[in-house]
Amino acid sequence: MGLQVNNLTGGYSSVPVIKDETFDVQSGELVSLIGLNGAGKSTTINHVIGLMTPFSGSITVDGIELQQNVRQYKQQLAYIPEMPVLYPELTLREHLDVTMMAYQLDRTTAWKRAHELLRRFRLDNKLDWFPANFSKGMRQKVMIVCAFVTDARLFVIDEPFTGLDPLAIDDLLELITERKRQGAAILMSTHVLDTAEKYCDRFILINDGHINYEGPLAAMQKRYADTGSTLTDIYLAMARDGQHE
Amino acid sequence: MSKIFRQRLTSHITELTKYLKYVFNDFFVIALLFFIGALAFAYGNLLQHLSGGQPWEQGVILLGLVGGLQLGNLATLIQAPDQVFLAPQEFAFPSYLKRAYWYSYALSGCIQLLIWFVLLPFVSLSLGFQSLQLKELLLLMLVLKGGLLDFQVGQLYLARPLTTIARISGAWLLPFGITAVAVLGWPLVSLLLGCGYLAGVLYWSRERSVALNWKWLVRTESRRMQRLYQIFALFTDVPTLPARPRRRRWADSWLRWLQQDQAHLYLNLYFRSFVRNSTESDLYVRVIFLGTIILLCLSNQLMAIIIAWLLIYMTGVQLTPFAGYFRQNSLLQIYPVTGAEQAQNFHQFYVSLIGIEIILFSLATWWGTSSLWSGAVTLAGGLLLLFGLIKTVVRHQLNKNRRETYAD
Repeated sequence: MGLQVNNLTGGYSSVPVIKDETFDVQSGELVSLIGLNGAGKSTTINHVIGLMTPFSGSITVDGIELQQNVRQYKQQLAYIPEMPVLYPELTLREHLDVTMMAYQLDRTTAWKRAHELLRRFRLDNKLDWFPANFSKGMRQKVMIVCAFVTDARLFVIDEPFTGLDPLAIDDLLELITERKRQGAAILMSTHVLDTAEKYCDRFILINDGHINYEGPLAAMQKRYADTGSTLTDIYLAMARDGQHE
Repeated sequence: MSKIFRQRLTSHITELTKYLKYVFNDFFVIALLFFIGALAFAYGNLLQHLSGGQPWEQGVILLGLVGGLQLGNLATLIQAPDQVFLAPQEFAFPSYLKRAYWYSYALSGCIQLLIWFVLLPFVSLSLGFQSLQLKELLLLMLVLKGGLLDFQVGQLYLARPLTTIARISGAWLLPFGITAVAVLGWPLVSLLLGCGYLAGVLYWSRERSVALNWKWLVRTESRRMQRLYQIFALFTDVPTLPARPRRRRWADSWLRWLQQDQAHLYLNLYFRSFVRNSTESDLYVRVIFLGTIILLCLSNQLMAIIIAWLLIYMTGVQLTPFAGYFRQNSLLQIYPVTGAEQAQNFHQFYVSLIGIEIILFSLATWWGTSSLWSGAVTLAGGLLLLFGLIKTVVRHQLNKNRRETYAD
């Protein structure tokens, strides 16, 4: 089922930032949200995760709308923000505890998974550290570990690669691929087009709050054959056209 | 740079004025007048019974003067972004710091004058100082305060912060030793030593002036503002500055008692954050500690009950904004937890802390006044206050919090 967004219009106060967006992310699929700064990616994400209320349209995760059942909607969703948000007074171990409490996870299974993730992201010896002692990249890794320790059906990942070292980027991509294989839907916004091209199943190109294109790379290459063959070439040409319009 | 300081000072004073309006509200001014009146009355009684020349009297004067010297730190009005935006102007910083120094000196000089004025009759009666010696004592205080502020300016240029021992020696032990000479009966000698201290500090700080230690500069000013905000927070909402959390492992065994499930998620968060956030918990502990000591010493029943209620009310108001402590954390808005659960958890947290305070103050009032009735009235009034706070300010804060955070 995954995520289904229908005719979504929304924004801040009464000014719509995103207009009539319709797209979906199926279970077992990784979809990339691509757009220039201010195009509406984060606003779209904020609507999906429930931080903003749509002016019109609907958003469902596995068939459930936020207003129908807040708890069930959020239970199925995990989010990795662009800027890590951690509790200054909680250690890494306690961040994981809080996540397990919030998602009502079985402690034994969740801690087993957490230890694997901690080892993978080289945080296993920092369980008693406070976030103040972490670098930006390490904080981002904490967010990743906390999100992937859950059994969420939809992962929303906002600019995940910022501040991560190459090894951590590779580990994250591997993790995303694993979860995708297990049937999770993943919506990821990114500016790293080369990586997106290699890993994503479909692309949603946003410009000025509108979806300009939605589909797989092959279809995009066919449609914009004259602009180039890579996602970067096609996107840059489209973005420049959009700027000139 | 002087212009920047002037602008900063204007906005700082505007901000202080705004908060002072809340601090000196009608109720507080009346309470303060009563309090000052009571203190003045007690002080007058004490002066009448002074025999003079007693070691304890010298000790009190010495502690009063040296403690008073620590009031009024260097106010640089530096903000964290300055280390990026003003760094290219670092060469011009001495003129900025000079202005900051004189502003701080004017304020702390007034504080020294006030302390000297209050201690004047005590010093005259106890040490037998004449007019000239009293003036020498005032001059000594002003010179030492100047030296202390220069010591703080000097530390801004140290690549590595001074060790705790060096800081205590420079800021406490030397002024203590010099003031002791005055209290022992040689104010002129002490004044000369004070001038020597000032000259020494100036020489030391000039010798080391190479590059500004921005980290230290930002940290000390942020701590100073934090202390100011802590006072204002007793009366109104103030901006929170990030404070470095403290691990406090000893509290882990208590925190483990909290239920670890979805329904108690916020209770865990509130208690853990409270214990490790020194801004909140230190203030609470200080109020409890000082309040209990004061109440144990008060024999006047009415005064004890009013003070206990006043402190319970102030702690209650101070703790209320903690309900919205996690408002900026978007993760909590993503978590499958409802606003109702958060409100319920905050009530549990709030009742636990204020409840402890009510019980302790009731026991202290009972003990201090030797009246079970006073203790019972404190307890009953305290519980009524708690109920009133929950139904008014806490409810308002939680509703505001819920509107801004949750979709449910």
